[in-house]
Amino acid sequence: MNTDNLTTAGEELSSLEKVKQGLKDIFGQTTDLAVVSVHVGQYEGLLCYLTTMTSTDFITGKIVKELSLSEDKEQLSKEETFRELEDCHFSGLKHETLQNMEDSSNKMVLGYAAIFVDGLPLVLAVDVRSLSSRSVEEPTSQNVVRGPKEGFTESADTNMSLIRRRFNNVKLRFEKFELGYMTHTAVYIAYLDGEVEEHILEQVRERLNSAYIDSLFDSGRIEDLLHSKGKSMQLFPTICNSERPDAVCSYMINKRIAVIVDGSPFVLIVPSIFTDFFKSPEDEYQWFVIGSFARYLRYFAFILSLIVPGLYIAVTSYHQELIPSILLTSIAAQREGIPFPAGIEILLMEITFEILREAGTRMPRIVGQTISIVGALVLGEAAVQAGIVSNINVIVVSLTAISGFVAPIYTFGAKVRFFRFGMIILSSLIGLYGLVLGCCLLMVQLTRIESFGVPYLSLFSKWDKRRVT
Amino acid sequence: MNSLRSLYILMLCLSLMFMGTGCWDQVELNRASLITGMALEPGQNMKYRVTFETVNALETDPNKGGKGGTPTALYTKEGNSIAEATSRLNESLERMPLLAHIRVIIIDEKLAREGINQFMDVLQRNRYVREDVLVLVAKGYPASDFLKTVYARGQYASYKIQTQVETYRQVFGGIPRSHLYDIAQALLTEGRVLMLGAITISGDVEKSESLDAIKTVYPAAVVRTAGAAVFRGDKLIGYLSNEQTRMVMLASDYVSNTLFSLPGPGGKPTSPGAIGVQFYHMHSHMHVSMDGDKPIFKLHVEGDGKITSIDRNIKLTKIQGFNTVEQLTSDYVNEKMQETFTYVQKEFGVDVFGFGEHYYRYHFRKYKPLAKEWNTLFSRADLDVKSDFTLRRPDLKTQKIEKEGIGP
Amino acid sequence: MTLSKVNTVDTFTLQLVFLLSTSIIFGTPSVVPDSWLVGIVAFFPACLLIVIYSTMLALQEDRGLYPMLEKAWGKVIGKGFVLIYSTYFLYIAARNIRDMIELIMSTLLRMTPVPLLTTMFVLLIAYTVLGGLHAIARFASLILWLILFMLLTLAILLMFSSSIILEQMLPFLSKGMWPVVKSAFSFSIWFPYGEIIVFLVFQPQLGGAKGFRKITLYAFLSTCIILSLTDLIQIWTLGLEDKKYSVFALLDAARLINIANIITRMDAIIALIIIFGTLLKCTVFLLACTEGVARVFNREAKDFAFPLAVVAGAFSILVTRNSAEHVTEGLKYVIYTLHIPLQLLVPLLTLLLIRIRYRKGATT
Repeated sequence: MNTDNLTTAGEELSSLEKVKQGLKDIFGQTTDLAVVSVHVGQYEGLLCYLTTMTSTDFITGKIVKELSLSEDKEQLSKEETFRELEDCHFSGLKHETLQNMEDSSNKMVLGYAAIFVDGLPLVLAVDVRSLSSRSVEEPTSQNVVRGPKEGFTESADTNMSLIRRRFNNVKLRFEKFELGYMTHTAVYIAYLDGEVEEHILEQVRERLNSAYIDSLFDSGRIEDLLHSKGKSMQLFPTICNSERPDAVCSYMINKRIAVIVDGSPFVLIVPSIFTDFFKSPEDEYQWFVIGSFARYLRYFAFILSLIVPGLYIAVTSYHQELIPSILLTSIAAQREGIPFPAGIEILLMEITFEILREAGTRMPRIVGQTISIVGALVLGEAAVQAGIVSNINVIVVSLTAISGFVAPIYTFGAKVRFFRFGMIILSSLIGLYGLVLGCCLLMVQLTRIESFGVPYLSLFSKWDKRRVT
Repeated sequence: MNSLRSLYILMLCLSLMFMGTGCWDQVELNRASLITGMALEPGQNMKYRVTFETVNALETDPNKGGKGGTPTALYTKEGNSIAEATSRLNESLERMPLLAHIRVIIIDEKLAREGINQFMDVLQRNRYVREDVLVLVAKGYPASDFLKTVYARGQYASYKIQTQVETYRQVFGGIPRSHLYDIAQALLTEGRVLMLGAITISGDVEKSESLDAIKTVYPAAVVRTAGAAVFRGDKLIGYLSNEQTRMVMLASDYVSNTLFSLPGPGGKPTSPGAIGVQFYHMHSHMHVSMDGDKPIFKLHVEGDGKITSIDRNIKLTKIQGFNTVEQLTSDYVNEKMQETFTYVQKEFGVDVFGFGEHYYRYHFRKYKPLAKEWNTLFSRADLDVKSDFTLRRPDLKTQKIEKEGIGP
Repeated sequence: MTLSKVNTVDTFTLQLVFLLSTSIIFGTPSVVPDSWLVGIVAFFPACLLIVIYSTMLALQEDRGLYPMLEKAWGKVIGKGFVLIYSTYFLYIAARNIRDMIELIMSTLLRMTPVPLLTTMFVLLIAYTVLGGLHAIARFASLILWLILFMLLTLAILLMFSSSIILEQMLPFLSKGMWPVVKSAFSFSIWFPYGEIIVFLVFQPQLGGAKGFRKITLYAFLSTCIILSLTDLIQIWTLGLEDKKYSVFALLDAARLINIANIITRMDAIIALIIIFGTLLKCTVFLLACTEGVARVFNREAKDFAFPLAVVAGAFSILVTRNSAEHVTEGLKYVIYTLHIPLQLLVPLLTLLLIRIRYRKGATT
């Protein structure tokens, strides 16, 4: 087998014509393949690269120039010329010596230029990757008032550099994995050696290695793969993501592993626990009292957004005795003449709100304004005026909606929204009992989850040997 | 995969279960009617005649303003028990009655004289009726008349009565605590006598039933507090006036806020030169001992307040001035307390002050043999009142505005 | 199932919530005037139970109740005892569910069919059981905060609505000490304190004899304090006299809250406490039961969670016809026919047998 391969490999590279033919076989008619005849020292050679992975400036400035310099050298053998190129001319660039066509083409896909020398069974692959990418900008989904304004970009190299420049520490490690049998996307894990628990690291490595997917365009896709296997479905996200390098670094200090996916500005953090979803890096940049206040406010908002609609239904249509009389008469006055029962009314408005939200996110930004006007004014105001829904209902739904967006991690808020419907249905069927059972179910679920062997929610985590923070 | 499928099946089962049956306990607010007040009277054909006050929620909403209708509608039902009358309410009412927000229960005088314990159980047992519902005795008028009076603020009668009684109790103390819960306590606790708030009406009830009655500055009829209704056991035996009630409540340490008007030097209440003292924190302590078979009660009243009016010339820049007023207050309170005490002893012969309860709690073993005859012992007891008042400040003026000489 | 140990604090909270949960509402018998004393009096003899249980554990290298029974009584009789204990735990769980449903039906709901409520609750219990002891312990710590927070809220609200009158706890000991002591011995030792025996089942995952002795002592002490305080709050608000007549005294106390007519009717808080607490308690019992049944029939404990939960639910409905029967059964028959034999006599005999056998083994 091996020898066979070698001989065929030698065969492939025996002449430039064969190389050209080989490239054509592999890449077909693709237009971005550049095959340029060059002189390598005294010999004929080929420079092959994909124009889409590099820039002309780079090729002319770094590669062609060096190659032309090599022409001036005295008589050297092919082998020596090749070594000369490798050691002197391209020593500053990342390069590799390859021996067959398949490897070279795989490298070219990653942004290498392959240099063939006529009759020499060696290929010099030089990294000429230079891609245009978004520059480092302010993150869009996790904003802070006070704190660094840098956000991750789609380029994993940039992202890694953003992390590295915050850790001037030899202990910072990056490890590379390749996922997706169609896309060969680069996935990196970053961690602080010695800080992170070895068994967690081992699990992450194993799960990344055993992952079998066709493609990977965003880190959201591998969240499911990283989840603990064999567990029943989980209602809460156990993997946190962040767009902010400072946040990721502070997680890493707390013994976490960051997973960077090339092409995604969202860096995953494993293992994550419940409290991580309520932390914003800003909490640490200001006076601790204000920071903690903000954090507790988020917990409170989370609870509000979960139970307020359910509580409203339970209390107004099942347990009227629990409301103060004056408030009840006021609610009763508003509900007078409303055709729907409270449960249906809330469900109606919640779904309307969900549609509004979805439309708001997907709409082109210019149309977005129209949506908010139509949504807020026309739907809200007119529905109340027309006597289809009551004022208090609109208040409840908007309070819930606003509270739902307080969680700093968007994915978490999205899940909460989903539970809310469960709570609404439960409490419109059996009142407060249903609501409490629903809450119990969530609490049981929260305490049951373990993320990489770390309890997701444990109030006494300080005493737990397996603790993360 | 498997777990997901079982989840689907579970959800399907649950939703089928719910859809097949429905929401059992659901009472939609717009299909229910709040009952806010209840008036209990002896019935004509049956034992009881119960009048329910139901709220027309739309008319009580100050923002929407309503359509100018009455905020409440009254329904009267008869039954051999309160529960029966309540369950027959829907003979005339189209909505589900919600008992949870009853604010006032008004008991007719006649019923109260027969004894209230025979019908209270349904109210105490029912989990919807709040423990802090006011139970009041209608003095001089049929109980249902109180629910017929309408008010300018658009709120319903029982809301007005409740707020009025609570506020009056807080600022003056002239009405006893008479929550539903206090009845149970009074009937159960040794040595305590049941006292309920009494209300009466001044004005013409007939005219007050329509909304026209509140289109004048002077309401046609107004519900007025009338002190306390005193019970022996659970039967009404008489009334105490507002001032007497205040003294009784002061003795049992339920008053903290009140105003005393001390008469002028003439001695008569109308004589000029009256002094008004307002107290904010009042406390009283009891002490009970037995001298042979005659109980001796000691009462110590303390108070902290200010001078609100002074219609005679006492200089409040000097210590002496304050001392004089304090002394006058003490004398006044001691005298009034004695007066009330002897009045109660003579008229009712029941221990409304709660000396018996105090004796029971602190000297259980001595009280135990006397428990049965306590009220007799009370009638021949002596009261020794000591009071100790502190007046802190004179408000804005140092003395009555009066020329003292020529020039400043 | 992993055999890693639950940490000490979680074990403590688990035991504390287990002890508190239903006894906060159904705990002390209200027939005795000074019921708050009962809990304190019962605490001391209850510590004897700790001594018995921890000695058993120490003799058996912390192997848990079921292996211990089998070792002491032999394979066949031992298995019989394991089954008896499992049934006992299941029965208590069923009774607790019934307690809770009674409270729910007299505070929150009227017409909703009880089987529906029970089914939902029981499914939740089974789901919690499947999470294993670690998850349950973490859940307990969550519940503990909730319960304590709610109790505190209750106390503060009562204070602000000036319902707390300290004088109402007088006259003190009006019937003497005897009824208190009697009620402590005939009731409070066995419920809630004696029920701690269920934790012997989980010892391999908990602290072992030493840990058990210490943690349980603290748990008993905290329970004693919290129960006495809640009892005092009930007496201070309702009065000795009125408390006697109420079905759920704490609930009646909560009904008295009224702050400026806005914060009123905190009944729901009590319902919450009881739902959370019962959920946890039943979960612990059911877990112990599944482990016992699994041991006897040589199957995975997890297979039994759902079926046994449903059985407990059915039990809870069928066990009695009305609340009077339920209470009488709980106060009289259960104590003399179940609690005393299974919490005291059988463990004592087991201890004796192990002692004898162990000594024999040592000499030969």
